[in-house]
Amino acid sequence: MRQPQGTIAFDDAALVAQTRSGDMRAYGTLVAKYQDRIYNLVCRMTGNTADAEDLAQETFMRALERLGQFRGRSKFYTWLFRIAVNLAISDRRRAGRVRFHSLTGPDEFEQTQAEQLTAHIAKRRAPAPDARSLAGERQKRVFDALDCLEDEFKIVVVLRDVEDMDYAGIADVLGVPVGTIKSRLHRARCILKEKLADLVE
Amino acid sequence: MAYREHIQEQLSAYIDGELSETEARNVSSAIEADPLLAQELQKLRSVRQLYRTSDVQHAPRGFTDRVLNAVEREELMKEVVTRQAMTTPFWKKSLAVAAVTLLAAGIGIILVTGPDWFARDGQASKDTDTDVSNPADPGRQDPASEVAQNPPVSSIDDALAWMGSVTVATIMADNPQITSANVEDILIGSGAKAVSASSLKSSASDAELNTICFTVRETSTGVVYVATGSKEHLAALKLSLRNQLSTRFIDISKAAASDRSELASILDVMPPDPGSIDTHDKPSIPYNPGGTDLAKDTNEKTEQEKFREMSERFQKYLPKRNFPTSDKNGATSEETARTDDSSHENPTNGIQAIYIKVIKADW
Repeated sequence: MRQPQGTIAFDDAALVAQTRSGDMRAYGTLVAKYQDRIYNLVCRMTGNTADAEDLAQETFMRALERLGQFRGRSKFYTWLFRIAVNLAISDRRRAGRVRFHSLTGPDEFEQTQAEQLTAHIAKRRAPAPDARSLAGERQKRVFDALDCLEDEFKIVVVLRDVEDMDYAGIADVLGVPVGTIKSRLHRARCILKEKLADLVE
Repeated sequence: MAYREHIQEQLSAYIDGELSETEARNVSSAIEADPLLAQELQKLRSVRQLYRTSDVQHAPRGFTDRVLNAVEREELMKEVVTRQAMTTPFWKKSLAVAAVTLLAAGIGIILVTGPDWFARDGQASKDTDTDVSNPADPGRQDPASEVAQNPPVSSIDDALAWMGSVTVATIMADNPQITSANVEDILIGSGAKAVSASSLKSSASDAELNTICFTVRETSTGVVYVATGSKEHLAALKLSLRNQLSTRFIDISKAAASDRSELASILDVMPPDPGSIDTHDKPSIPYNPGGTDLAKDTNEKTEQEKFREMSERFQKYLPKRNFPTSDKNGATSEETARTDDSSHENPTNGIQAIYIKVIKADW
């Protein structure tokens, strides 16, 4: 049932219902409620703030488009995170494809050149130094190390340690068993432990 | 050894409190008995802590509003298109107004985004008093200094070559369901408006200049439009045109010579196509209206001269406004400030244009 005019519900289910009935204020509340978490998530996944805003916006646009398909079997934010994660991973893969086709040559020399060039581009695409000035060099190193992980490992670290989701929630977002989350997370932390050895001594 | 590896595999879940009581007890016992395992556990804890204490990135200010605005635009377009069949062709009503409006505004907006376009030959023109359309504009700045910073292009080819951000949209209106009214509806639904040349010069706000502005012209083959607007607006417009009218898009640089000529004609950078049927009031800055053979008419200026005049004319008005001008990479000044050196990755930001052709429309 639609809420009386002038009132806005604050639990997700009611906001979703209000949005479905055409109340865009309700959707605005949902966006405001989750914008930071979604933005932070895609920021950590993409590694740069410029792409993150576009992806975060696209996440909310997609969610609205598909709201009719949302059955409420999982929590709204889990469903929203799933959309954001898929978009972020697709975005990274798209970038990866471009890199592979356009730059990677058949021999080792060209491969090295390609890697150097893509690393250079990635560096240029990274947030401006001031964006991370508060966090400092240490935090930059921490997230550079995260950027080196494969998506499947990276996302579990982001969802667990940045978003503070439990294993069941992560499994729900990613659609994989809890056991898989457990092993991926451990593997990811072991890699990070090696990469950040001097910071974790 | 296998047992130790098993315990190792569980250390992360142990830290996260994700083990059963029995599993957790086993890990605790193993750690107490094995200093290396304890050390390993401590390092994993440290790794975890590095990410848990990291700064949270907050969504930029105004993010929610931008999402809702984007939603609203899309919804508006859908609504407009669904009622397309009922609508009287707007263009017939608006021809008289439109003909004298964005013809000038369109090129003005396009010109200001041209990357280094005016600076190409580095030659400043001092012949600045050519503004016959609005000679007494009170807000005008010293034209000599403005034009000196923006020397004109050297040829029409340069102009068209620059128009890499102009898209040609072709709508084959053989289907009677597709009329120019459909295009008008989509344009209007996307917030398009006509702004007169005089209002552009004196009172158009930045907000107006960021919405889609369009002009219309009837030709021998149909109706053509030139829509200018922000990247975001035009992306939404393109999406709607593509979805609703099966529009094909190509870059102006890949367009046929006739299309380039047509666009140039509309933008008044070249004499009108002799084949075109121009029934409108002439734009405020007309030249060679009858398609006179320029080579034989010594009183007529060359195409380059005319185009330079146009360029200069608009350049006089641009600096006094807060146009979202592009740097040479196309990023707006605001974006440049925000994203620093990453701005070069967004070459299509800023004002752009779509040249829309509705061919053989059944109207």
